[in-house]
Amino acid sequence: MAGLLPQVTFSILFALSLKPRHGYELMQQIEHDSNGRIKLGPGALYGTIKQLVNDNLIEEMPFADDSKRRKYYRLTKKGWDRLSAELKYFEQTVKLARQRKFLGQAGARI
Amino acid sequence: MKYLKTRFPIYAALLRLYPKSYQKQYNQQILQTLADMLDNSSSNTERKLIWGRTIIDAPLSIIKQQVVYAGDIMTNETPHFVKTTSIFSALLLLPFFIFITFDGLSSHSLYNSWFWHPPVIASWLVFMPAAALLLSLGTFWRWSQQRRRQNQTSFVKTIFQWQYNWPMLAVAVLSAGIIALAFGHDSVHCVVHNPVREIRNWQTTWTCIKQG
Repeated sequence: MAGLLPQVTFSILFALSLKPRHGYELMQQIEHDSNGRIKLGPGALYGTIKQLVNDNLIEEMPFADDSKRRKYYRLTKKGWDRLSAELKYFEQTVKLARQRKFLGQAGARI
Repeated sequence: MKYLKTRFPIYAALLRLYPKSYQKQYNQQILQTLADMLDNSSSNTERKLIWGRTIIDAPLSIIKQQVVYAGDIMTNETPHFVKTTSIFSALLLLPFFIFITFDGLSSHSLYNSWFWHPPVIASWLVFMPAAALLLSLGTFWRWSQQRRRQNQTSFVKTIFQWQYNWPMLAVAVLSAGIIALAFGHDSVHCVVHNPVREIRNWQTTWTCIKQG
């Protein structure tokens, strides 16, 4: 299995798992999903988008919005696989944390 | 795009510092996203925060993309002879850094050793950096000419393409710096058997020697 995705990369893939989005929508969704902890600037956002397109994890949609000013992005098959592998890892980690009584039980530390 | 460029002229000018291919693909999207952010903000404070974030984000992102671009060029476009000579000329500078660092860390223990005496000192302090300088400048010249012929562009333009030239330029600047340091360093006169300082300050050195 490949190494874990960087936080911003994961957040973009996760935000695109609901529906295709353009840049601003992506920013809003990421901010919402992270409870306001991840606030991206346009430069950082498109730098990561470029990397994800190069890695074939997301792709540009063949259509833009009505004014053709905004491009939409969606997950590719490879992107879905990568995201689900990442989520499985998180699921296992949370499961372990519960077993070790770090999480989600009476008397848990977190 | 034109409307966005006139709306954010300074930011649009800043975006021109991205690599050309990146600009073509993403500059419009970046400007549009910034416009969306500002249009959907509800207060002046929020707008100021957005601008603050964008101003910090832009230079970092530009540097990152330029480095990525230079890396891509190094991997995909740089010919073998440029890579080889850049590495070889960089290796010629290695003794200088090793000896200076070791001497500095060991309370000048090399000062009276054969490393600091001619002809050894002259080789690592002058001749090897000079060879590295010539080699890197020669490679720089050859590859610039090659690119000029391939792309039908001007020689001046190829000189300023730092993403292509940085390995040779880095070695050339370092080598020139070492040589300048060697010949310009005059804090210690009368260091017997140090040819560089003796040449540079020959009168002082000669007086020192005469005085014993």
